[in-house]
Amino acid sequence: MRRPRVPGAMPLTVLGLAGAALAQAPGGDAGRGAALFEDRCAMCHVGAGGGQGPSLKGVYARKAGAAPGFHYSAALAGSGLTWTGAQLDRFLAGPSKAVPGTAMAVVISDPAQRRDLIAYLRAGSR
Amino acid sequence: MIIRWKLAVMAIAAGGSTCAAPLGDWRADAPGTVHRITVADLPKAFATPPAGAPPAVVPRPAGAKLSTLPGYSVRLFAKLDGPRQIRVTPGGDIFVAETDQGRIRVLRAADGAPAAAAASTFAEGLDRPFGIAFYPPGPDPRWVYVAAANSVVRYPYRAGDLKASGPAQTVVAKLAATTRGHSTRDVAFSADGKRMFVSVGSASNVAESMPAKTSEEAKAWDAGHGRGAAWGDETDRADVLVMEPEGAGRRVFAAGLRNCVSLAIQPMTGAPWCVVNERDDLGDDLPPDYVTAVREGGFYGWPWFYIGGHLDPRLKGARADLAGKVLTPDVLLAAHSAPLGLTFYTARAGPAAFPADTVGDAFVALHGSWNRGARTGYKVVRVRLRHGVPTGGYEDVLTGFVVGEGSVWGRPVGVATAHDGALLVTDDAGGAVWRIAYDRKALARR
Repeated sequence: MRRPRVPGAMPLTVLGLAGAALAQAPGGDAGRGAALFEDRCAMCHVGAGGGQGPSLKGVYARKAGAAPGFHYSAALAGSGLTWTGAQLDRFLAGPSKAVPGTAMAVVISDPAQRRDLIAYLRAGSR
Repeated sequence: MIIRWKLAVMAIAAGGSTCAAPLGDWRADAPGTVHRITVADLPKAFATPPAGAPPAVVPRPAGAKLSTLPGYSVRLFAKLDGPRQIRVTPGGDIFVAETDQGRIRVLRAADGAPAAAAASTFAEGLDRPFGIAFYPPGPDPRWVYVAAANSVVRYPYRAGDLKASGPAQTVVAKLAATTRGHSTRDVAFSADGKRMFVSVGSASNVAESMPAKTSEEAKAWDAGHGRGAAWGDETDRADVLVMEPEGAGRRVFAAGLRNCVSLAIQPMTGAPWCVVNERDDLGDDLPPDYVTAVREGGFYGWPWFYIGGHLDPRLKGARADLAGKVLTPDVLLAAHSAPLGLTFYTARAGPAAFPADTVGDAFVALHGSWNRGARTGYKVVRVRLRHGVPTGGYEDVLTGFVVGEGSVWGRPVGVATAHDGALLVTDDAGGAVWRIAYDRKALARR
């Protein structure tokens, strides 16, 4: 019942990764990540940032708290973080643990889901 | 109107602050303060611009204290990871959903104990579990039902179980075709055990991308899905479903409920009630969130109307045919309060039991606003009922989670009556369960 897999996910050979490597590598499936983003993130992270969260367009490799026009918490604006895959992974696993004082409330506790989401955010930032 | 007056005084004291919303905010909150919002208080749509003020969640500041009513105490009862819905078995075991961790935990405490013993994990591996119910109703439930993000499952149960004795059985494999948006599903059983209610929130704020239907098409949809049922990506969303406890015979019980959370059976009437999170971006004081009995076949307005027949201008008059058929909810709460928890107080005895006139009243947990210029919510309130009918207002019972306009250190989610009469409150932001106890002796000593 946990995490229905999206049918037609990209076979591993296309990604050029063996199964063991995929488990550790930043890997992730951007297609599944897109569906997860729609499900878990899009309600707040829409448009230009008038809602609960900032636009995530171009977030990968960007400095934290840098989307124009969004009023960030002091904690995130002053975090000094850059959204690498590793930092995104840590943040999504527990935002208020990673950056105490953030306003981001959604937790993605499943590591595989985080990999898929990060792959999607990265693909959308190229 | 008490609140308006208080706020005016505060605005003057603060040098004419301009961000004070007319219907009050956290600065005017304190245990005992009564709020009463009526339909006549509703401003026009867009009277204030849409606000984007999600709270920064900070660790509890040194010296930050919660406040409750005289004669009551509030203490930390347990630490959990993002606790949300909380329900108590007839035997007194306390089930809590750690939604983001996919787990159901169990807490246990002797009557009168100020804190729980170590928590057990009853079930795990669920997709954002929230709702919890015990079946059949009565003293000896044999199943624990759990409402996850898009399904309902159940586990075999015997009184005292701290871990599910068998795997999850699927009761409803899929509540809706879409899963985005609101994810707090809840479940409750009618007192006779024959009907299971499941609440399903909307996929969006106000069905922005729902395709148009002609009035004939819309009427045909109503005939098949229930009055006012939404369609497109919102099919089977924003409603309360009813079915048999094994999942058969499912249909829409009530529609137009944007996000109805914390289904609770009102003990005197047997009717299901819930708290409803109304829409965003219509202004600081619009529309009020609410507490209501959920009437069979009822239509509560979403997405086309709010609080009775008030037309949402963003929907441009679609479904005007329903204007006279929108139910007005029972108790209006300050707009954007984000009510998530509701329980009817039932304890008639116990070392922490509240005064006898509390029995039958409702307690509501307000998670707190983001879509409002001045913060509101972040507290627990009491809704008084007389013979099962709400008297209209609500009263602050637990406050103190807001640090300043920008940040908070806790957000109440669920409320439940413990076996000893204490009121338990979950706080997902602070990772805590709080216990409010009444102490007759302490009151006598005052």
